[in-house]
Amino acid sequence: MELKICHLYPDVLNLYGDRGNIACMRRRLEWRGIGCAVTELPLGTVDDLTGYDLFFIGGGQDFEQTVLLSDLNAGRRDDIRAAAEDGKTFLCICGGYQLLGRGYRTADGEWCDYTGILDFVTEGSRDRMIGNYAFRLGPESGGGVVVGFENHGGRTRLGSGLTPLGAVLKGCGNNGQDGTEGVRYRNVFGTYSHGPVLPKNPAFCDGILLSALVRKYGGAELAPLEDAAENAARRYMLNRLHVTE
Amino acid sequence: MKKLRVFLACLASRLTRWGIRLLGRGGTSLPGKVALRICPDLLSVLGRGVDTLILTGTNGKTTTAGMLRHMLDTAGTDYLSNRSGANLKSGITAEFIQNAAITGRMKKKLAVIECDEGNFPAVVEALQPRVIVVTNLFRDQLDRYGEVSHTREYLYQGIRKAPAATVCLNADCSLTASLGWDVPNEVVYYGVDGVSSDAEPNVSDAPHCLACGERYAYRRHTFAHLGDWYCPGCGRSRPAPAVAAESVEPVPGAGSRIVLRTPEGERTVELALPALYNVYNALSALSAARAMGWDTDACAESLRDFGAVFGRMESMKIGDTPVQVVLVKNPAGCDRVLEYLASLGEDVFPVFCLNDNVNDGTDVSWIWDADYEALFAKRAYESIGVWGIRAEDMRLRLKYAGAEDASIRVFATLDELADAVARAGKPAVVLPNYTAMLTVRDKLSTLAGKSRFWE
Ligand SMILES: [Zn+2]
Repeated sequence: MELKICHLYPDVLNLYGDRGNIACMRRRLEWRGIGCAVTELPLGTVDDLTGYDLFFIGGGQDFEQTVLLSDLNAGRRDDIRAAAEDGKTFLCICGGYQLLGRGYRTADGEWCDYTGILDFVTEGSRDRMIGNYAFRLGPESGGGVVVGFENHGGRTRLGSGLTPLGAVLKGCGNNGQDGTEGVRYRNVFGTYSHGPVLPKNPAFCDGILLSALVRKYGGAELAPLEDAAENAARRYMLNRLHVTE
Repeated sequence: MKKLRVFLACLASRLTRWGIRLLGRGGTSLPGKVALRICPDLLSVLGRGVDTLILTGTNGKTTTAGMLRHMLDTAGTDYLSNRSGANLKSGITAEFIQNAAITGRMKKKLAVIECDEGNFPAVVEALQPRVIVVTNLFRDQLDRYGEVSHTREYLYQGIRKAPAATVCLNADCSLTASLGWDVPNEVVYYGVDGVSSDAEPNVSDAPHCLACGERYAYRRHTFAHLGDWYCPGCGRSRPAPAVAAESVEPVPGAGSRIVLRTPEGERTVELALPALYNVYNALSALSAARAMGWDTDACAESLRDFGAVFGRMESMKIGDTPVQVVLVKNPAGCDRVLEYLASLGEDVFPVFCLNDNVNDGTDVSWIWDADYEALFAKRAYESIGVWGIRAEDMRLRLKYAGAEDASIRVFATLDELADAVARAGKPAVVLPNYTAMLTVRDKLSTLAGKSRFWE
């Protein structure tokens, strides 16, 4: 078995330890004898997306996100939408998550069209939501608790037909008001959590990998791993946030 | 009325300082905070008539400030400087009060000030410096200033508040160099000409042109995003540096030999510190010294015997065990230190320390952007230590970088760490981030018999 991972826009969206998510997926596949090939697709590269099993889009700075839009409009938007509708797995963090939505309204009221692949909107504000936080995944994503770090000015509100990735236990999540965090659509996982999110949440990581393996091979099982270091780091943050599993 | 306020502020600041000392604490910002509460414009009152040089930037501030102080010490010139690294407005104010009579009359006429990026506009406005130096801009403490482009905006606003200041900028850092695009100030660029690295940087902090959004191209890289950059879109490019390293030759075990070119001519500089990032620090110090009107030749000469500055890289001995403490606080700086660690071979005891206090940046995710993989691709250690508030995150990072998890020891207390270092039977290299460094260094230097830094 092998997963082909496509890291989209690593040159622009690479803030907050995003490389750690890639490293985590790669190691957890390799430790189980499953192949893993990571291809980086920087801005402006032309490539067929249909050969990939899993897409990763990370977070970026406000300025750099506007740089992306011309590339998305040049056709990549449709390729990404087709892959998502085809059941391919996506992990999108922070700015990469926001890009899936219809657009972004800046704190000054300026509107910026995003991909519109999913029905949600993000509004900028001058107060950033910053800090360690925790949320409980929805049942379709395994139901476990995820710990991470959020740092975003954007407040995201999901359209009525969309399911959040989880429910906030501590911190702000999508907007600090409605208790939702992230988005889950087919095999698309969108979240504000960086940190990076995967290393301290091995079950969440395995769930994401499994969704791609099942999509590709029809069925798959992941052997358990020795997660002592993962669980120690995770437990520390759960205790600090006074969250129980 | 004004004079009374200044007097009261200086008095309160001193009383606070005495109080802190009596309690045996090392806090260095409270006396300044107290004074600013009483007299909000105290820094500009005290700074009037003081010839001031302000340094800022992400990496290298403290080392560069150390070089400048060393130049002045060598020349026997009297000055004040915030040498304990208290670089917020409150700490800088406290330093000025320390060097003033209780009436507010300054005893020193020259100041070398290291300033935090976020506090830069306020400090520049108050002090109206003669020279401003920006070392570089990297991702650092993201959660404190949001993003690199926000940090750049702080610096830009700051420079505009002192239009009469000469500004020395790193030509090789596109973010820093862009600060000179649209300011009324006299600008002097410095840079490295004679070095070209074939290693592609793995994390670029400044990939795109700030003017037109096009991806920068490079004729030559030095390290990270530094080099001979240009924009294929709008034609902006690295400005020709007036102060340049024509060539850099590493001198094993000693440092670097630099051929320095300035408009006044060429000369050789023997720098007693290793690594290219210290060449950049030397260039920022020398261009600042030149802009201040100091004797550039004498300043260059003094770098021959400049040792490491507190915390950046410091050596001590506990019993017979050599211990090095090297500050690590962001991915670019960390990669340089890891290269150094790898160069020492495997017969060392590395200890990685990670805190997430406000002064460290509460977001520790940057450790995943640093290239620990490169270290463990080359080296396997018998034993590795981790310590700090986020010790478990550090352990996890090292595991995914390729370290053997069973070889990693998590120290619950500073005593355990110190004990392990003392008993390691091999040289220890301790890599803490900022607040971890303060406590680790305090502990280790007490064992080694060195003075505490605020004394
Ligand atoms: Zn341009």
